Amino acid sequence: MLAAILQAVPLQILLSGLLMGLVYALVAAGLSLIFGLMDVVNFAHGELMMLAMYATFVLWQASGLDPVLLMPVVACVMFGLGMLLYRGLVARALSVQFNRGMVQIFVTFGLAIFLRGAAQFAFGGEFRSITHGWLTDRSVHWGGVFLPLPQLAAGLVCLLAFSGLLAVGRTEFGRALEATREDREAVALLGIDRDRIFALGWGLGIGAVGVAGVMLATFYYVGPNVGANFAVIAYVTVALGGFGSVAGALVAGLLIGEVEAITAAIVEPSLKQVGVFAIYLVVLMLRPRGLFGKI
Amino acid sequence: MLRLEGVAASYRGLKALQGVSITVARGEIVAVVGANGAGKSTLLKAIAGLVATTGAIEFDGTPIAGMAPHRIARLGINLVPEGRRLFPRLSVQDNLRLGAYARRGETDRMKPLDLVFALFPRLSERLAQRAETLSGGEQQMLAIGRALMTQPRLLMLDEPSQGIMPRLVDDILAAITRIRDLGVTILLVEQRLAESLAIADRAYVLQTGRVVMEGRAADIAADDGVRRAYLGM
Repeated sequence: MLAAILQAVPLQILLSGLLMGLVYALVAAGLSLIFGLMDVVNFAHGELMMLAMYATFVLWQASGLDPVLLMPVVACVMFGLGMLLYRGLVARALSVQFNRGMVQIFVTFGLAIFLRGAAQFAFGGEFRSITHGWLTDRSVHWGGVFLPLPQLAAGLVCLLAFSGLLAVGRTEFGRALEATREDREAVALLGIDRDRIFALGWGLGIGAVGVAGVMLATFYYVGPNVGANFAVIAYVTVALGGFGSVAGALVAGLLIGEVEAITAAIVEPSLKQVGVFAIYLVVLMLRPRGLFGKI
Repeated sequence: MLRLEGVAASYRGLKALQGVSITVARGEIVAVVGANGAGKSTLLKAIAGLVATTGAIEFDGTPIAGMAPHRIARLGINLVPEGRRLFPRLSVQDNLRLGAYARRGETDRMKPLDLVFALFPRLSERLAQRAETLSGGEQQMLAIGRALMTQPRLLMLDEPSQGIMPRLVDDILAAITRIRDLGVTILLVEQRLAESLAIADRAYVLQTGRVVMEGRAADIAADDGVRRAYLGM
């Protein structure tokens, strides 16, 4: 099987798909974690990634430090921002008495539009990019395969961040997250502050998308609309992996990365997302709860 | 220890409690009995902070009405809710340990485990199993065990015998008595009138959200008129 695939698709394409897939997986993991925890779809997920990309760009420009060094800083800021968003915005939306579902949607959707507009206002519409750094314009040649260093680093860092998320799931806090997901009233009866758990969940989810944003900024253009593309792919990834399943997001992210790379290679680069959405439709029709869905 | 004064609560648009005043003294087992829909569960939820109330609720002199449920729990009041509300996909061990989660930082917070296993030896044999795979009786043991892990001073139990085979009901009720003997005060809501009055010191009879009678559990159990008038049997 592997041999047949390798024959049809060059290793180069598979590896490119793999690296991009790892980025998609981390973006989707944050989305899935928040949804699984509290049934809230964060429509501003892509815009928060865009924010992390701009933050990286601005800090890089101002400090001259390499984006790789800035990554922990931006990730921590995004973690804090995630907690703040929950406390200041989402928790309030959840406390309304009527039409809670719609209020949730509008609150994160409104945040997305606000962030996009704010980026447009602050930076204008043109694309920015990080033009020099440790990784820029370097690549690894290995057995006839050519891998740009920024993509390689992004894939590895996203994989590490992903392992971190899975490791958190095994801690006592991770158990409390899972328990809160299963019965938010019962955890309160045990003296557990569910609002704190929710806020930390948002911190983790937004911190994860922040890491992805920083690494993406080392090789991808930075613009006000960059988040939208990635958000759409993240929704497909979460639907494929199963809503609420963080491990599912990894498998699905890799699959999406491969499908995209292969479609681009054998059909046409500008149509690369056609394969992705074809998968989405098939999943919706055949297995709506996704590969590892918990609902 | 616990004092309610003129407590009223609405649940799903209905007046579930009206002018309820009860007291529970340290070390007692107090039973709340009454027909279906009398407001027994709402009473426990009101004390736990899960339903909004008017009137005064005090625990050891601290007013707790309107406090968030997790804060009330941290004061030492624990409710084992109707339907048990375990975390079904987590293991027995994780369910128990989560009972002590709010005490992170305290070195001996897992100490109640010994007590839980002494009361319910079956649980120690099923530690790695998911909670959802346990039988009804074992699930109730786990729910009580999880509550004990919070180290409560007042343990409230809502229908602990529900959905359990009769042989195990006696075990559970015996365990409740042992928990009281260890110094935990008990407020018990139970459909099984005779059994719950047998282990209780005092009892309140609830009808359509009001306390219609209170007294020694033995007196209420012996009073045929009460049973016919308020408890429908």
